[in-house]
Amino acid sequence: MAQKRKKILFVDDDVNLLAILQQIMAKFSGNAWEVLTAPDVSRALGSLQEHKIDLLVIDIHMPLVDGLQFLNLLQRKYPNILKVVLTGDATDQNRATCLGSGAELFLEKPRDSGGWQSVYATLHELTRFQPEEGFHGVLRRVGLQDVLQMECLARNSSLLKISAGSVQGAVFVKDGQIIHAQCGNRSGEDAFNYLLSLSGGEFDVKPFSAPPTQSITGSWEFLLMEAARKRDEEGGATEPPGGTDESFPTPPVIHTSERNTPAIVPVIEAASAAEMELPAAPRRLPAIADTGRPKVEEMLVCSLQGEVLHEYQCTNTNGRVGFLEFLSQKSRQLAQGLPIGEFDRLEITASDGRVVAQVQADRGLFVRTSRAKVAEPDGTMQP
Amino acid sequence: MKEQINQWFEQSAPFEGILACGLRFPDQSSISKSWADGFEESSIENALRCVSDGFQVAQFNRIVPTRLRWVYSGAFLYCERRQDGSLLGVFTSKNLGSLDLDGLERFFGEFQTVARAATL
Repeated sequence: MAQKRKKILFVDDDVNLLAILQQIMAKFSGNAWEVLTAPDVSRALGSLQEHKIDLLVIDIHMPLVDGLQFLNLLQRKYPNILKVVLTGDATDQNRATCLGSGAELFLEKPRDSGGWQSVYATLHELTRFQPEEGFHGVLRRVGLQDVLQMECLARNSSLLKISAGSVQGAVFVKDGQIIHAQCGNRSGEDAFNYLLSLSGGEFDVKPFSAPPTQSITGSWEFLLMEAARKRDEEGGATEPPGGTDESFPTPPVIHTSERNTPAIVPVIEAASAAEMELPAAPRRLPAIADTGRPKVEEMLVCSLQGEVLHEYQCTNTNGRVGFLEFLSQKSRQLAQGLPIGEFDRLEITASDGRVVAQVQADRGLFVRTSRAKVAEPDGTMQP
Repeated sequence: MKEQINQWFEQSAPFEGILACGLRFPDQSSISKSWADGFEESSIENALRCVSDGFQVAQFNRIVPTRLRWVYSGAFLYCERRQDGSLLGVFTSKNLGSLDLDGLERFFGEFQTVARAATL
């Protein structure tokens, strides 16, 4: 029986390059690959819906939706698909950002024709490692803006029901266009901007049903950009949808401890910091100098959807959640083919302290400690 | 320098509790050794590539690691990276009672210092 061909999708706005890649990659693979191409994210999503893609190779710099945004979108809908970034802009920053956003590999576009064989060999090696099907527990962030973008790019028709505390609203998407939004007494773009300014909440994607009216006609790209701009300028929703009930609560903000905050998917019951069981420190290794007791400098707990449940002195919550996302994927990739069991945590020994990052079944945990300075007997502090 | 590190690695002696180890060089080539079943060269190579990504992403998050320890239910993976970008990963048993920690430290100490004298 002939072996099933692997389907490799290249996404790049350079159509000439795509034509070349289609030829040479098929040739290098001895026709074992079916090479598909897409010049933009919208058509890439179409291919993903139509085919079972084994590997996705993405350029970074593309108009409208760039490679990094695409990676973040893929985290939700296709978390298990292998993703590689192939770019001519191979800076360290791009590399770390893309790896932290779910890319398995970050490759630089070769400058000579000989380099493409090497690219093929690397991609081929990666296709030998397939992520597990039905994987649960990968930490990935989901935002309403991301979901709307996905629905529009995929040209879906759907109804997004949104709730945050006692705020209830809905956004209607038809054939990839946002046609109506309503929230309390608001409707149209006003309701849309309000709903997108909410910090936290739940949403549900339902089958499309016709709205009472079509109140929005602008392009979805412009709508999302405007909503983001308004959110940044005005600092989130401050006015209740009715505009008259002053007792209406402001939308919930996630950052405080000991609150059962509605999450995007299941509600996670928040635990207090005292209840959090930090992993035991490993037996002290002779090479590490002991300069004092550890002091917690920073701590963050997030749900599996990336919503911050607790934070303590965390000045970059986005960065820490991103690090936990990266860890949840990379730890699984690392263990492939090895008899080492399930991942528990990563311990990082740094020059100024220690970091423990753990991804559990229902939460992610990031703790950074430093060595507290210990006072000498004469009252001066140790260096 | 790569040859010297290579030579040291080939000649290095195992210690109690070590399951496998691997070296990844700045040119992304790698070599490995194993003393336990299931630690194939290609899997160790894949693991080292993931570790290398881990060092990079940690630094991007302003965490400057001197050592990483990946804790799995069945093993530890200790990793250190030299300034020249060479990376050593060591899989060990989780049974600390049968793990020669001094041997582990000695192994990493040698890794950090080998070939350095030649560059001074």
